[in-house]
Amino acid sequence: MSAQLFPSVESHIIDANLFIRFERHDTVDLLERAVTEHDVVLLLPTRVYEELTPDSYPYGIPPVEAAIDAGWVQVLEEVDYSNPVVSATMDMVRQYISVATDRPEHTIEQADAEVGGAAATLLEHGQTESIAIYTNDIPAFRGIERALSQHGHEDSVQLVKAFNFVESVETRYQFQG
Amino acid sequence: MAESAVSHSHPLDTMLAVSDVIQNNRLAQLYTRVLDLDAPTVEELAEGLESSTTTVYDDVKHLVEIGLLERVTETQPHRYRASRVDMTIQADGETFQITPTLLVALAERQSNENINLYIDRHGVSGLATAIEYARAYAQSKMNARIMAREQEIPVLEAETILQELQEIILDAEPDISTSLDIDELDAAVDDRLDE
Repeated sequence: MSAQLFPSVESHIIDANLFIRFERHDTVDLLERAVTEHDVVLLLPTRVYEELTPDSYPYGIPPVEAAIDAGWVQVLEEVDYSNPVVSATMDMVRQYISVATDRPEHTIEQADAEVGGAAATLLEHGQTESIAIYTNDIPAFRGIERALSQHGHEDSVQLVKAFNFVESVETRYQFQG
Repeated sequence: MAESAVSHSHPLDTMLAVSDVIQNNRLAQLYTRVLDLDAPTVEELAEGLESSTTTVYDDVKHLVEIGLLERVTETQPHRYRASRVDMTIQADGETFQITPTLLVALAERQSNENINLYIDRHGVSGLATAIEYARAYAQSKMNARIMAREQEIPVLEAETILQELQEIILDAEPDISTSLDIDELDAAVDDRLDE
């Protein structure tokens, strides 16, 4: 298989669904190998980090802390709500989620738009030029993409469908002993 | 194709039949296995199960009697097909759907720790509700954060059960449409923004 595992971008932001998928399949170690071999660091928005490490939880806690300690996952700084592009992006994401889930917009919270807010914050602060977003939340991603292209960041973000990515990593590393 | 026996029986009979399967994991597993295989015989069914052929035979007989399986051949060895259960139960203002997917998810309980824990914590009704969220999730019309808020559970728990159930749904409901129409979504958002 010659296809690129990781898109060639400067930053890689992941949503909770990606990490949970690896955890469920018990293949977080394969993710670690893929990430470290390709010299990539996965960025976790603050709130996603909190979602992955709740105070009380009936199941095993995903090994996020270990990944952070090992250096291949980093928690991002809080989202900068005061930046108008950041807040416009989050509003747009909420619009998309509202329509897709058929829920009134006021019930869609900022938490739902956090990944988009994190991407917009990095771009607006000049910390990166290009971002891949690993999620399976397609409406949210479409909102991020559209808002950012309306605010001077055309072609700065690209989607990596989380579950397809999990499959590629597992296929490539599973049988390498 | 033969009509399902369940669709012709009285709703109360269907309900009793279904509750039998809900309460007996062995029956749920058997029903699931019939769904999986193409009109299996008792012998074929017994191959993948821990029960003895005699037990499987008795269980099949029971499931036929209550209308959840139907015999599709006249001659020996008989082959069986699972009836497509489709019930909606309304109670205390809440609506629950009982579908083959629910029975499959229940049958997974023994081998799937996440599903087992979810049923322990939220009951069969909680699982039925989660399946409805998961169906929307499989169609990209739901996310774990919204389910978590509406069901008052952690996002981690919501995302975990949604992923577990999504895999079951894609298997048990192969006709489900999983590709989101982005143009349609764009247009609906534009309409909303113009208001």
